[in-house]
Amino acid sequence: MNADSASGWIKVYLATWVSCSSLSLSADELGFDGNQVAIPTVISAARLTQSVLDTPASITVIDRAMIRALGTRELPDILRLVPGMVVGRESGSEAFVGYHGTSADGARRMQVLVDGRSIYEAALARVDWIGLPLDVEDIERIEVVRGPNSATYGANSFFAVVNIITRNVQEVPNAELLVRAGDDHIRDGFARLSLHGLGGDWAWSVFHREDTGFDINARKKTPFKDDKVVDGGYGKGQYTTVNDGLLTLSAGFSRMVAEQARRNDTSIYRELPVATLETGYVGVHWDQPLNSQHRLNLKANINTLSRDEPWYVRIPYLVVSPELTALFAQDKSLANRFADDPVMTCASPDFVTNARLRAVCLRLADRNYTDLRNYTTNQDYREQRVEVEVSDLWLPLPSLRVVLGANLSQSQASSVNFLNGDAENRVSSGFGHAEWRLSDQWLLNVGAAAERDDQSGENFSPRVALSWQLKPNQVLRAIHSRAVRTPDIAESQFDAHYYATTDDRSQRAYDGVFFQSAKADGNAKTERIRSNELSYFAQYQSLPISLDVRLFRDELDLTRNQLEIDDLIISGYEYYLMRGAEVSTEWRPSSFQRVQLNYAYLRVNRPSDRGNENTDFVPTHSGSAIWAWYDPNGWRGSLAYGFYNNLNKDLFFDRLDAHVGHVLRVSEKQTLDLGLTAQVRLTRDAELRRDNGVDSPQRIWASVGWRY
Amino acid sequence: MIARSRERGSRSWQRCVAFTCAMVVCFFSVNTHAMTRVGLWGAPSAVVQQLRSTQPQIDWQAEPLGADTQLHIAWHADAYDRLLTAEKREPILLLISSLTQRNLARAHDSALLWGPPLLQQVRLARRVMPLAKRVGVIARQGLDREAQLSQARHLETLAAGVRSEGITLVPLLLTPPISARALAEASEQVDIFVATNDEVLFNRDTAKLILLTAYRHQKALIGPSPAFVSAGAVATMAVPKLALIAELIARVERWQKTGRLGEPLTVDQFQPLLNPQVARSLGLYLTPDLLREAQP
Repeated sequence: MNADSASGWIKVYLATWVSCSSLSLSADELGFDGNQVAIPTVISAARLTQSVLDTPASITVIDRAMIRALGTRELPDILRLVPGMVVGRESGSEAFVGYHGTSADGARRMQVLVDGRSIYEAALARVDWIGLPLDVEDIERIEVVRGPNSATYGANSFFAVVNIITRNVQEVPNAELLVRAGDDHIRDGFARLSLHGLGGDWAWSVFHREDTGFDINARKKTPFKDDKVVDGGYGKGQYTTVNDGLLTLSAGFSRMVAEQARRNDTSIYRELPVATLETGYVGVHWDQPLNSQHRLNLKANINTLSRDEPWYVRIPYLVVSPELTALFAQDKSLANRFADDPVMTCASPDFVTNARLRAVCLRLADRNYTDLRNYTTNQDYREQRVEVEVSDLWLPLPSLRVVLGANLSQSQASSVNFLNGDAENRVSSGFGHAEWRLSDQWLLNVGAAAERDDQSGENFSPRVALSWQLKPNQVLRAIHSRAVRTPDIAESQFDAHYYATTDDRSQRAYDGVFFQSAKADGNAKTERIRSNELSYFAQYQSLPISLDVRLFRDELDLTRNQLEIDDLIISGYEYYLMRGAEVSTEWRPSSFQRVQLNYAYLRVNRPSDRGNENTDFVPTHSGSAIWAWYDPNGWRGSLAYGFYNNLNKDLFFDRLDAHVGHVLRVSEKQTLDLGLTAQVRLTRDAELRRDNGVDSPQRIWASVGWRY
Repeated sequence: MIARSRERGSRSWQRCVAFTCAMVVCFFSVNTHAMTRVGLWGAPSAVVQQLRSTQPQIDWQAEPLGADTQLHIAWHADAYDRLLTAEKREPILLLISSLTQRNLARAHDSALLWGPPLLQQVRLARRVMPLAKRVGVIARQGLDREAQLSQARHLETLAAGVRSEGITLVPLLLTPPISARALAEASEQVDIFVATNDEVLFNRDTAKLILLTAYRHQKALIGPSPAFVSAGAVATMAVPKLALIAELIARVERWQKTGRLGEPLTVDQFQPLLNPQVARSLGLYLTPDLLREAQP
């Protein structure tokens, strides 16, 4: 038999054999371990790495390339690209970011995570977007799960979840410096150092941001003092453990000093209150494959927050005296009337019928009670949360992936002003999610979380999503989910008093407690949402365009909880029905250009025609358009337009943002990054609040960066 | 008498059977000794089984300890180095993606090259991502001067060849070991990555870092080998196992006939090998034609 005929025979033989074998040499045959790497597509919807086609929720992903092309300096501006997300500035130091805009105070109906760690403040149910111990330069990408997600992240993942994913320490430059300067006294700095050492990879960054915020009170046409300065740092270290595990250590801190512009118009202040907000955290995350079927995930972190806001006031002793406090305890309305207009109130018939009012009125003749004195009080609070979470990714079948886990968090808050002391809350939960590929075209996602909250009891939040893959890159989803928002510590245990001490300690006899006080009855309700969603997601390769359409109908049992000392409201349930549609489309003419159009339509059936804080910031129409471009030769730029209508009843907000930047290579390893960003308000309405005015519609800044 | 005669007849018959058996045993024993013993080093057991069943007239032995092996097959460069260290005198046939990064140590050794030609890889990149205009070819920085020049000439020729197809070939010269930082910077310049047949750059130790970094930047990678596709690369051009085994056996039979392994041979039969799951995750649409071609 010659070689050729032998080969021919062999080929015939192999042709029969190969039909039962793989096409070509597989990984293990060439010395690989055969495990496919986890493709980092999206991870936030179900704690699984999933294609956006497979997630049990609509998701918006904003990646590093887009963040760079935008040229923004603060996180909230990036979130304007999320359809349905309402973003505005409450003041220069406080941002409002709310999906569907229903919460007028903080982000209380949205969960916000940094690398999976919640930064939702347990005491006051808010997120400090501006004082976050993180700079925009530290962010790799942001995933926003649009829709309730308590099934995955527990209570407070009510309307949406924002997961901010920080940069991989192996990818950042060895050293980096960046400065920005521009209008409104923008003076920013950022520095980062990364190295390979101590057995792992590390990156540390520090940042400084300052600006003057709003300029004028748009209602009164008076100057507005709204300056803020933020300093902070962030560090992250990564170690590879056995069997391709990853141990991540991270820590961050920030300190924000902010003038409280909203107190500008009150005459009692001797000087404008300045708040100092300090936040910090340390965290550890261990992601460890155990075998081919199990992957352990362990997280632990400690978060601290403190806010110091001393108030230097000039008031008469009478308003902190026991007499007026006793009147307030008996008749709040009468005490408030007296505080507003003592003479008229004392001349009213109540003087005759109310002994406590008479006692107060008699003090009007006593100069010890009526002379103005310098007092100091404060609006301070402290908070600490310790959180531990363990989960297991289990792969029992090729078509089934399951995540099971438990979470325990212990929160403590301390505030003489808000809580009249200390308060705490413990939340324990178990969660599970299963992704089951029923067939090539059908995918079922089922998840639920069971939670026990010391304050609000037990809650159960399920979610079911069925996806039908019409074509390889098109999917139609039907989702039903239920979620809860549990009352924060302050809502449950609000007990507010302002203790005032005289600056001149020789007059300590005139120390007192501000006559107004408020105490919650401990019956704050757990808010609930029942959401039905039909969504369509497609990636049309030939165009190439991606299209994301979300139709939703949310039934809401909301409360109206207003934690004001002079107007405390802890309401019962009010039923709202929210319906709407969101469309998001992105066209990528090339890998270096993107055109995005986002639009959201929201319709709310509220309990009464009157607006309230649950609906004040719900725009009927909102949207954004952006063209972003990054040239492989170093140029980048963007042009973005965003708008909201019906904010605070009738305010219209729109803004045009533009950025252009260029990276110059100055040596083999060094680059210079030059950038110019402009934000231009096109309409003159105040932003979000009627006081928030600016003296110039545009804000422009330049940046220079050096990287090694 | 009759009984004695029967006894003699029976003995004769027994002797005849014993002789026949002895002859048969002797025949098979001689035949066994005549079979060529080929040592397989670094080959997975499935491949050894496959060779045994496909060509049973050769004695395929996985990593044999005896000294009677006449030919060695090294399944990868590490196995080849092990054989050289063990001072095996017999010729070695090395299976390797290419010989651009290393030479055969001895004149009587040879190689079977299974690495896909770069041109086919670049064209596959275009088929996986039809709108890709800038295709980044990851090659090694820091070769010796002559090899570096040769590599540069090869890439220039290739770039000129694909320019008419609307492809801008971007050489990305990286120093091994590839760092995530360097790859992240490179990702800003291209639509898709293509890996070269360079085991110094692309190996089991670097695979995870390369793939994860590429995917963090939403860039697909045309891997250098099927192993990379199994590990998460979106596709590669690959020699079907059928063809590789057939070429290997043909090479061994040629050596049996001529006593020489001959010059290194490039296997020129390639077909796409795809990872549809990765393609889907990256939002890439694999055309029915491509999927059909990739079928065994």
